[in-house]
Amino acid sequence: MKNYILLALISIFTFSSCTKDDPTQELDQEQLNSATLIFTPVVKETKDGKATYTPMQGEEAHSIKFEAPTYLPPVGTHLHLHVGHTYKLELKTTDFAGRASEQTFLNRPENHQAFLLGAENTELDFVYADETNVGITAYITVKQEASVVLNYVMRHLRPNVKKNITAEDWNNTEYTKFTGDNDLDLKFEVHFVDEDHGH
Amino acid sequence: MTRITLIFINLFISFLSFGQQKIDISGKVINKETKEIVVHAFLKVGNQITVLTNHQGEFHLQDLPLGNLNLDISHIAYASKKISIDLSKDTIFSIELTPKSINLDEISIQKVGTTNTANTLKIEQRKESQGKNLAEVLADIAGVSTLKTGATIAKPMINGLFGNRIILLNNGTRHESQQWGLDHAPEIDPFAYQKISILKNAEAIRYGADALGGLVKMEPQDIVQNKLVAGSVNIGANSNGRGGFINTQLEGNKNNFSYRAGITGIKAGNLKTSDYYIGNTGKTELNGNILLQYKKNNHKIDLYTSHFGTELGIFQGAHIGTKEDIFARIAYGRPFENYDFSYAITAPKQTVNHQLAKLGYSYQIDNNQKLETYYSIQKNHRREYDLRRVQSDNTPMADIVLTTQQLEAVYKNRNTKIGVFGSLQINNNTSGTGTTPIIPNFDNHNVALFASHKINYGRHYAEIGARYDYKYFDAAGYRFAHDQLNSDGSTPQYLLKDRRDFSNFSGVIGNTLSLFQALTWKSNLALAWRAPSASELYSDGIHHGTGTYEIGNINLQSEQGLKWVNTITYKNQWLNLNADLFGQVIDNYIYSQPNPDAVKQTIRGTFPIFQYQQDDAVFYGLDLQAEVQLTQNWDYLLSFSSVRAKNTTKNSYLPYIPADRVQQAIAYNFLLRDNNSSYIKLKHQYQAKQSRYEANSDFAAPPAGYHTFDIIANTTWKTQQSRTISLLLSIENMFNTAYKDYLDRFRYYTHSIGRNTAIKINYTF
Repeated sequence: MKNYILLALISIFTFSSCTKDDPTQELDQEQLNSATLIFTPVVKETKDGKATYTPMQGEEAHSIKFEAPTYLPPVGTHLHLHVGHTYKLELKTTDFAGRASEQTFLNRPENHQAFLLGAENTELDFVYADETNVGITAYITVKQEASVVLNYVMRHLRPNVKKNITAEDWNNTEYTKFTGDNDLDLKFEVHFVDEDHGH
Repeated sequence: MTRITLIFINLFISFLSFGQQKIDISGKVINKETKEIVVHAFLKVGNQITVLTNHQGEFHLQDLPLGNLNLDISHIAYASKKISIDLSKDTIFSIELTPKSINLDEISIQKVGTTNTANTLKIEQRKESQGKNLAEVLADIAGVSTLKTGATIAKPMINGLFGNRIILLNNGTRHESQQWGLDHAPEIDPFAYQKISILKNAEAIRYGADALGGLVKMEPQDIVQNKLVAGSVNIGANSNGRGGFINTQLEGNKNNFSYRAGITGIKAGNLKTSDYYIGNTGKTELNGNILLQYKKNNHKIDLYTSHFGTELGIFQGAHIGTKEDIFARIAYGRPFENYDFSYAITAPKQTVNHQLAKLGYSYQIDNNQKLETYYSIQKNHRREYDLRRVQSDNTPMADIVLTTQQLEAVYKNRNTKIGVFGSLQINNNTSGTGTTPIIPNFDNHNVALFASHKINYGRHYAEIGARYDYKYFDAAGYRFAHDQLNSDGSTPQYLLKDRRDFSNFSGVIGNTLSLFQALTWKSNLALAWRAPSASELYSDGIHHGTGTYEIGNINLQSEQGLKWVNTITYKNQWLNLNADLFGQVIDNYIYSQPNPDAVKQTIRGTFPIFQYQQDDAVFYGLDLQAEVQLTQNWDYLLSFSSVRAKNTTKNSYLPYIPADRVQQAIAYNFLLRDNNSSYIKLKHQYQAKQSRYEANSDFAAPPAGYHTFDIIANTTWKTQQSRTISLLLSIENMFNTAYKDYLDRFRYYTHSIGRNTAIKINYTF
């Protein structure tokens, strides 16, 4: 009997370490490191009820980058978007290791949808450019002059929530009722101006 | 219940004095089944005299009056009995007691040590709460509240304290799991223990210094000694969650060997409030335990192993983002989505496994001295899953393994106890989660020496004890350097290595005064301390369940608590009253508080920062429990719990303190036949609103008070072979009241659960 007890004790001490493991550094794959919103002027043409968008020659793209620690653009940063123009809105993100990561939103379309808050339907038109309404690419058309703070929110939705969201919810200020959390929450200042606006 | 067989083995007349109408009685108390003597059985004559059988099981009572004599005989390991004798002459007789079997049997208020009072769950309470988790099982005791994280996770709270401040004593071993998390429920199967008690004072001397709040003591009963196979089968079903449970226990004895083995399975789906389902609130549980015992002469060896395994769903609507999300839900009052019933458990969820192995040895040196030792090893493996952005949802966000080894040796005699205790604890995060662990890897080693002594003076007792603890803490893990940036704009990490030592003295002094036979006053003053936990020191990350960013504080000092518990017990033929009046001051009380001026800006939005800090605090209150036998058939039970708590440094209220609670029940007891006992009970609970609350210290003010009503009917039949079968029907929250509880951390998102109809069958053989 004593031998069995001794054997059990030896086994326990042999197989159970008496000190912690050396910690392993994790690459935080869930965290995003930076985000960039790019606005490229495009020409919108509608044929048979279907819109097509082609790059506008000679026009430069505007971009805003959001970085740590504030994740806000530098003070005073603002965009001028012209009334009557259409822009291709693209999201680029990097993960913790600096790798491009915007594709991860498209990989799970049932869990992601972007909202662009801060503008009324009378001021801005927003069309999701991907079939699944994720919104890492979209086309926006400026409809009238305004100065607004836009808020691009990439919502990480809980299962079965996205079926209750339509494309018309793109600027729904009650987006929090679509249960989930935010993968991105980006705020920036924009002026919708006439084409002859000097500044 | 077993009837007392009174065997008159001898009738003698001796020293009969015609002029002195007084009678002497004496005899032995023996085990009805083994005929062994029963040592330390209590014999109580009416309400006046109590004697204890000696080491030969003998008793002797002198100068009793002629006439009818009522004797109450009780012992911790045997069923209590009452007998009535017509005394006309000196008498010698034996009393046979039946050992408590695997039945869930107990007594209500029981003496532990000399100055400490244990509140033990009654047999009816255990049967009524079968299939529930440990915290819910304990909630019937005055002074015990339940801190919930939704409908599936509950932690016990004693007099306003919870988590690491409460020791769970699992079959003599400290249950070591990751109690630091508010959403980490104890991994305990209540079916594995026939006796579950609460001790409200610090109990620091015997079981460890951390128990500022108290102790939950879970013990098995002695294994039945006269059968090779005995046992019980318990099955039940609940309408809410469409769940069920089954538990089987077997035990027996042959020669010097005894055994007990049990297995429990639980399955439930989505729970329902008064009018909607709460999505993803199912659970599965599979638990088992084996106890082997060998006794020979003065030696006793125990080997105990247990496994607890559970998978718990967590309401998806509560794992959300920023405070804007929380405020939107608070304003709406219920989930935005409608959920259907389902047994499926998806992320967010927890899977937890806890294994325990304990080897115990005790040696009875002589009638007065005993040596007890044990070694135990526990492994707690916790995996927490969430909806992930990149990885599969089947990859855990947290994967932590906590291994604890404990070794203890205690020498004790009738009045003195001296012991040494050591533990090695190792916490490791499993790599591959794709997230930086919220707490680092650590070693947590503890050595302690303790001694206590009891002093009898007249009918009173005093107790004094001291304990010295040394704790070594060594942590290592990668943390974020928030004040630095890499060239690519990312936040760098650094390897934190931190070692610290804690040492402290704890002490207890207590006194028990038997003011008169029915009234006892116990007073116990205990000094305890608690070193800060790893989460309080090092945590750093977003807590999705509350939408907060939690930051530890490596400058935290040990908490020191001084708790004074005064217990008044009054017991007569129709009233059993127990009142605990307590006061506790805690220096360096550690708590997590939002800083309204500080927010954590992330690319995902703005999160309020909760940072661990410490201040001095005071807790005080009253717990009252009364059982009144109104008539032969009617009983009334009343329980009142009240606690007040303040941060004395800042002169403010502390968060998550339970408001006053009243529980009452009226029961009608009756017999359908001679071999039957039955009752119908109506229970009412009133939970008051917590009005002692600091405005703007939480996302929402405490919810309104509420009333709930339960009705329970139970009938128990006993066969001639001492087998019993019980059938219990109950309706909890019978009026399907919609309510939210202040101590439920998911009250922002959902109501508490609604009506539940349950049926439970218990068969003992």
